[in-house]
Amino acid sequence: MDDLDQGLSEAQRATLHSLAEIITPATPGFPSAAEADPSGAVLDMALAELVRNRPAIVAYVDAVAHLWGKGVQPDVEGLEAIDPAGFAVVCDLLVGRYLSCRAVWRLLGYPGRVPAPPAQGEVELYLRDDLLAPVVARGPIYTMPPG
Amino acid sequence: MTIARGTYPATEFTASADDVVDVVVIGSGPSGATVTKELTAMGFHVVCLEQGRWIDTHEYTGTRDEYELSTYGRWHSSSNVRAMPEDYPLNLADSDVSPVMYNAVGGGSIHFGAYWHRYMPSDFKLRSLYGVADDWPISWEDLAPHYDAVDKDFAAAAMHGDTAFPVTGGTTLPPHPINDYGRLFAQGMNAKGWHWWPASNAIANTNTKGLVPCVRLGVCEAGCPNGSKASVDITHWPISLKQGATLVTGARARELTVDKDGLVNSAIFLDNNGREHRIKADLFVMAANGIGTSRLLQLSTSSRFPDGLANSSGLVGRRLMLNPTAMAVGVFDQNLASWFGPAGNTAHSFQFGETDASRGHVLGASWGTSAAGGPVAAYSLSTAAGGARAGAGMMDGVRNILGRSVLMSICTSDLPNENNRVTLDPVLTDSHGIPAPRIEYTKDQNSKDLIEFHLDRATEALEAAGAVQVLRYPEMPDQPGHILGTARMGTDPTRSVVDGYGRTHDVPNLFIVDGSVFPSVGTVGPTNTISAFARRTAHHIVDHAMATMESEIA
Repeated sequence: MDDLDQGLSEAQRATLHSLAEIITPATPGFPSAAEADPSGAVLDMALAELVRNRPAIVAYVDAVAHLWGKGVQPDVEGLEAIDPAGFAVVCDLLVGRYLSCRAVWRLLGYPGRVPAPPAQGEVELYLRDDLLAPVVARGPIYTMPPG
Repeated sequence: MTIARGTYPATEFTASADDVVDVVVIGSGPSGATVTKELTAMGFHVVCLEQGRWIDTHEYTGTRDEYELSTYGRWHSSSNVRAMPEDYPLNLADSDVSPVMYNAVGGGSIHFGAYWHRYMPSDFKLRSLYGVADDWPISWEDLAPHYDAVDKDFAAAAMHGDTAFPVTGGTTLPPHPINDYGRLFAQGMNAKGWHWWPASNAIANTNTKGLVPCVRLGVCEAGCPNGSKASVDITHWPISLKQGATLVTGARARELTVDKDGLVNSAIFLDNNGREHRIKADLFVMAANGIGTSRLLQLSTSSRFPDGLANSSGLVGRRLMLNPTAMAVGVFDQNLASWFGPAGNTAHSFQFGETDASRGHVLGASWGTSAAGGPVAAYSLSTAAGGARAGAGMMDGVRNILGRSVLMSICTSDLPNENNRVTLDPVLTDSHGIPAPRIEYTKDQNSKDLIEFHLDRATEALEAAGAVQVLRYPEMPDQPGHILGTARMGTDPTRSVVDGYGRTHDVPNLFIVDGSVFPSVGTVGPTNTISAFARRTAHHIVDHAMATMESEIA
């Protein structure tokens, strides 16, 4: 994992955490970002994976902090209007982080990438009821070039 | 001979001035691996130069929580995003499509989905049949025995009897399950009366070729952590190394040099410390993909070849074809566990795979359905279709798609156009300071019409299957790595770069075996056809060597 301190200051991390509560807030049945990733470990993981985007992330975070410092509190649309490209990069980071939390997976009904070796007969199971029969009955559909 | 057998980094490479190996291969992906395996089996000493490194399966993130995030970063399909030292950048300012590749032992097979299918017979004769593009100087029948052989080498798993293809004698593993989403795809196709079939994949479902059975993680395109996908670092290179090959990693080829007779006599390459090396050989084989091969040929200028090696036709780098790929996603009311692999495809269709002039355009496309991914992939699909990036709307979009979708990729053929090309960028360089490729690629009106037609038909099929919503993507966010056509084969040296065996018209001891040589392209991933062609070339080289030897003995 990268040395995160080199990429984001404490103030920038605080701004990012606050942004996360706007971009990935609690919704009915789902936790907020802070609740889903209380230690920030998944955020650190996301920052490490998206290290190439770090300059764009930092630039956007600084722009938001500047606005907040002046007492301006834009909503989601307002955040996008600041810098649409930077907003998209930060959304990819924060939404990617949120959707990589196992707590969120459980609520979504997503089991994660777990081995699921096919059972005996599973190939045939999905082809039941002569699913291929009409295809076979129509015969070849390819063109064979002459010669 | 001081050149050691086995595999080691270029920093450890040593050769004396007298060392001349039989064959140097540039690139260790499917074509280079196939040629090397076949030639070393016949006793040739082959040295392969690979600019990347070996990757262990434990480096793949597919079973870890960060997997989906990693596909935005170090496992991104674009070398421009990954920006690893072994990657080279591409100037894409003038390209409608971002070509993808991977630079490592195994090349593109590290990143391919392993959907494994042959071209249709008509793909080889588009000019004769439909009056468009160009015929290949070889036919489907010429490749058929090699298709059969590489099916085995790549552990192809398929259901025989596909009505879109002639019956052949090839033996493959049984197919993978088409899963719930594949069954829905099939039901939609049956409702329309259209072709479909369980898809063929170079993914093992038994222990074979160094692979273990697939467990449907659905992460094929960022490397298989289970070791089930037939990437050639697993299926081919261990065999070739046992047969005496030399595989030099971290070896970035910079130039092929020629002697006074116009034959290639050496390859100059740089190691990771920037130190220059030279290797001599009797024969050279380019296997560096449709961008890397044309780049090196253009870098290899001399008084005899001022416009680049093997480029008397002026076609090196031109006629780039990329199989522009669209996508339709059907959203259903029920849980389909659509994250199940392989990816690869589980089922496919060639109903509209060939030209039908009544449609108002030429060429065709194949359709395939595969794993749709996890929550982050659902977010990407949702936002690419205009869904919210943040807040409750974002979660609605994810929940709408995740696990309940049938993802259908639409791989279109494209026409060769000499203005779609690879050149050397005057400014951009790789980590060694070597000029990087500049890509110029514009989708023509035929491609746009083709995509629109197929999206309409795919929508009909998904609705017939019961989709409550169909999301349409004229440009699939993750384009395939099909980089083809930039050193076309043909019989006329003024209109082609290589002959039907991949031998360059201008330089008798230089062959090209990657997708550069395709005069036209089909509607499926080209790796099967590239590998079959490479195998055929290797056998031609062996036959020629044997004939020469017999002649000398006589």
